Amino acid sequence: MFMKRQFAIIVMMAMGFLALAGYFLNFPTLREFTDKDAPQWYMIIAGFAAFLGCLNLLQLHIQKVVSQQKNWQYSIFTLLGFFVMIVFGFIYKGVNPGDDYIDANNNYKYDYAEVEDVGNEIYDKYESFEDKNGNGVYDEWKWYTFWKSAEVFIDEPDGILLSGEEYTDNNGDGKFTPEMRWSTVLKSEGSAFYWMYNYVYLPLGSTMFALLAFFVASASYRAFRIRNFEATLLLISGVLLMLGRVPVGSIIPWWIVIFIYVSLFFAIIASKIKDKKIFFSSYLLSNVIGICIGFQFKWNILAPKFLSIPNIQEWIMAVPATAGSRAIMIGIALGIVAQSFRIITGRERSILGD
Amino acid sequence: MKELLVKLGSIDRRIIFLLIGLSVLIPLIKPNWVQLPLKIDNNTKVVFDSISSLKDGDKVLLSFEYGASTKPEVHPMAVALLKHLFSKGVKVYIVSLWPEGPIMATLAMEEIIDSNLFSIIEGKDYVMFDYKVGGSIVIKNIADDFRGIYKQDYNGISIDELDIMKGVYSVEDFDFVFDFSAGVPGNAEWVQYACDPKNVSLSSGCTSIMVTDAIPYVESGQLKGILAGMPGAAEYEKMVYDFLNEEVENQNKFINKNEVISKGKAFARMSAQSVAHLLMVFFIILGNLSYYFERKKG
Amino acid sequence: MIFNLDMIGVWLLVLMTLCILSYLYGDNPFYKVAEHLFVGVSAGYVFALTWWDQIWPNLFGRLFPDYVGAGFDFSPIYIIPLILGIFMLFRLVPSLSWLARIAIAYIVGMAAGLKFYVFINSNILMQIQNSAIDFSKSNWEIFNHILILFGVICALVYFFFSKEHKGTIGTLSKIGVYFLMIKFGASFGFAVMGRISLLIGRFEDLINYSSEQYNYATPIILAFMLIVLAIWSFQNNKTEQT
Repeated sequence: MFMKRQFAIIVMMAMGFLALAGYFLNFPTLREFTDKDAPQWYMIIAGFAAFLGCLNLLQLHIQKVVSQQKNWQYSIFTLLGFFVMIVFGFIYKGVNPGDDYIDANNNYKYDYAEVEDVGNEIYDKYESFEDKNGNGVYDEWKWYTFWKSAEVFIDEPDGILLSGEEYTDNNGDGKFTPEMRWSTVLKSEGSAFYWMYNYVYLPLGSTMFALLAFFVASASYRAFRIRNFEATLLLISGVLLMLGRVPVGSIIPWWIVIFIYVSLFFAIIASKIKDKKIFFSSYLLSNVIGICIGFQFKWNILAPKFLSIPNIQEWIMAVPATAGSRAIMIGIALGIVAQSFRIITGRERSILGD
Repeated sequence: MKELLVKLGSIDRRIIFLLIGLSVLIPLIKPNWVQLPLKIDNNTKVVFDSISSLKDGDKVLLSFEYGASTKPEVHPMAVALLKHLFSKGVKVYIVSLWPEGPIMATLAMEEIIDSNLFSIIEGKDYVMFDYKVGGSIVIKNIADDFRGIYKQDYNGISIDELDIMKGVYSVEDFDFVFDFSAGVPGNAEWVQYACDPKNVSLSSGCTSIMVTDAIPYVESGQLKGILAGMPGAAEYEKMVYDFLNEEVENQNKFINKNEVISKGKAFARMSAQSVAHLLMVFFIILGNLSYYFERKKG
Repeated sequence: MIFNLDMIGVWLLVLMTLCILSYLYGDNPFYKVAEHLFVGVSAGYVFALTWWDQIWPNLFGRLFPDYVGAGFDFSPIYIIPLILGIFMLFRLVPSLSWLARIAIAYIVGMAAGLKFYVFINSNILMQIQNSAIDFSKSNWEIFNHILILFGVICALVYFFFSKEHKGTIGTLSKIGVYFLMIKFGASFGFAVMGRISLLIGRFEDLINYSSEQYNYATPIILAFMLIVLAIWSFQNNKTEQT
C-alpha cells in the first residue's frame, strides 16, 4: 500500500524540494545533480511518456479494428501511417548506405595513417597497405576498390594517407563516407522518413491549422455581436488590430478614423439619449464638425498620429492590452506558484489518479 | 434592404468559406492587382536595432521552435534574421527544442547557402545542434551547462573539435539569444529559465497568436522587441533587404557583391493578408447590422 | 510526363491538403481518412524522433557509451531513469499501472520545483517591477505608464473573489473587465491574422503545384474530389430520404 500511494507522493515532494533547492543552495554534489543529471532524467522519462502516448494510441485503434466498432475502417489508416513511419524510422533508411570498412584494430572508427604521403598518387615506401598475399610487396594500387580481394591503399591528395584498414566505396565518390546516423537520417532530405514527413505529415498538419481561418471567419460573422459595452470594446479592439497590422491600415484616411471615434462616443452615450431624431442629427453633426476641424488643421495633408490606424493599434497593444495581459500573467503565475507549493508540500494527490 | 440584411445573417457558412478562400487566392494569383505600402511596427524596429548593434565575432544563439504547421508565419523571419546576422559577421549557434526544429533550421540555412550571399563555413561561422526532448528543462540546461547537454553537433562531430565552440559553456557566453517560437516551449520559457536569471539579451519572432501573451515581456524589456507573425516577418524582411542593399554599396566584407538579394516571401503575401482582413471586418460589420435589424424586427 | 518519387510525393501532398480542406463542405470520407492518417503518422514521427534524439543518445549513450558513441561517459546511475521510464510504460498494464505514478511523480515534482522559482521571478516580480512609473520620461509616456498600472490593478481586483464585487471594488473590477476585453479583442485580431497567414501558406503550395512542371496536380485532384464528393453527397441525400 505504501509503495502504491505514499511512495509516489514522497518522490514528488523530494524532487520538488531538490529542484527548488538547486536555485538557493550551493552544495557541489547537489548542484551537480540538479543542474546536470536531474534534468536529463526528466527528459528521458518525458521521452518514455511520449512512447506511452503512442502505444496507447495503438492499443485503442487495434481494439477498434479487432472488435469492429463504428468507423473501424478508418483506424486501419491510423495503424498504416504509424507502421510506415516506424519502418522508415527504424528499418529502411532510403539513403545511400555509408561505405563499409573493416576495423583492423577494433577501436570502432576508421583510422588514419600516421605516415605522410608525398602526394604522387602511387604507393611509396612508407605508405601503409594490407598485404593480402603476404609476399611483403605491394602488388597493385588504386584510389579505392570495390573488390575486397584486391590489395588496397588510399592515397588522399591532401597528403594524409589512410591506413591499411580496407573499405568499400558504396557510393563511388572516391572517399570514405561513414554511414549516416539514424538521428541524421530522419531529418535528411532524400531519406524515406523525410519523404513521409515532407509529403504527408507536413501538408496534413499545416492544413489542419489553416482550416481554422475559415471557421474563425464564419464564427465572427455569426457570433461576434455587439450585445453590451464589453463586447463593443472587444470588437473595436479586434477590428483596429486586424486593420492596423496589415498594409491596408495605413491607407485608411483620417476622416474614417474621425468617423470611428465619433461612432464609439455615441455608442457609449446611446442609452442616455432617448430621442432618436436628436441622437442621429447630433451624430451626423459631430461627424461634419470633425471633418471641418480636420480640414482647418490641414489633416488632409499630414494626419496626426491619433488619426492613423497603425499608430492607434500600436498604442492599444502597448498600453491597455499590455495591462490586461500583465494582469492575466500575474494571476496565472500566482495560481501556478500556489499549485507548485501544494505539490512540494505533498498536498497534491491528483497524480494518484484520485 | 432591411429584409435582405436580416436574411444575410443566416447565410450558409459555405458561402463565407468560399469568399474567404477567394479573398486569399486572388491576390496570390494576381499580386500586382493589390500593392500596398508597408508600415514598420515599433517592436520590429527594436528587434532590427538590437541585431544591428551586434558586432563582428559576437555569438548569437538561435532557437528553432516551430514546425511545418506554422512555417508560413515564422520561417520568413528566420531566413531574414540569418541574412542580417551573417552580414554582420556574427557567429550563429542553432538549437532546436521542437522535433521539427532541425528540419526548419536546415531549410533556412539551405536558403542562405543557395543564395551565395555569404561565404559561411559550418563549424566556423555557424553550428547546428540536434533536437532535444524536454522543453524548459533543455533551456535550463543550456543556461547552466551547454556542453553537458550537447556533446556533438548535428553531424556527429564532437564539440571539442569545433573552433566555433571555443569559450561557449553556458548561455552567458552568448551576446544575444533569438527564439523562433510557435508554442511551448517558446519565448516565455527562454525568459523564465535562461535570459532573465542569467541576464542575457533576448528577442523573439513568434506566431500571431502568441503575441498578446508575450507583450508584457516586451513592454517590461525582458524581450527586446518582437516580430509578430507574418506582418512582423514582412516588415523585418523589408528592413533587412534595404540594409543589405545599403551594405553592398558600402562594400561590406561579409556580403558577396555580385549576388542577387531577394526580398523574401512574407512581403509578397501581405496583399492577400490585407484583403482577407478587410473581408473579415466587412463580415463582422454585416453580421452586426443583420443582428440589429433582426432584433428591431423581433 | 515526369514520374518519380518526388512527383508522387507532390501529388500526395496536394491530395492530403485537399482532403483536409474538403471538411469545409462537410464531414466526408476524404477528410476522415486524412485525419486518421495524420494521427498515425504523427505518432510514428514522434516515436522515431524521441527514440533517436533523446532515449538512444542520452540514456543508452550513458549506459553503453562505446556502442552508442554519443560522446558521453559511462554513468551507471542512469539505470534509474531507465527503470522509471519502464514504469511509465506499465501504465498500459492495469495490474501494474500504479508503478507509473512514481515516474509521473518525478516529472510533476521536478516541474513544480522549477516553476515555483521561475514564475515568481519572471512572471510576478519582474512584471510588478516593470509596472512602476518612470517619472523621468515624457508626459505622454508617464500617462501611459499610469494607465498600465491602473489597468493591471483593476484587472487583478477582478480576479480577487474573496470579497464581493460591490461599491468601489465593483467599479474597479468593472474597469478591469474593460482592460481584459481590450486584451481579448487584440488576441482575437492576432488569432485571425495567424490563421489567415497559415491559409496563405497552403494556398501558395497549391498554386505552385498546379503548374505543368507538376503535371497539373492541383486541378486534376480537385476535379476528381469534387466529382466524388458530388456523387457521395447525392447518394447520402438519397439514403436520408429513404
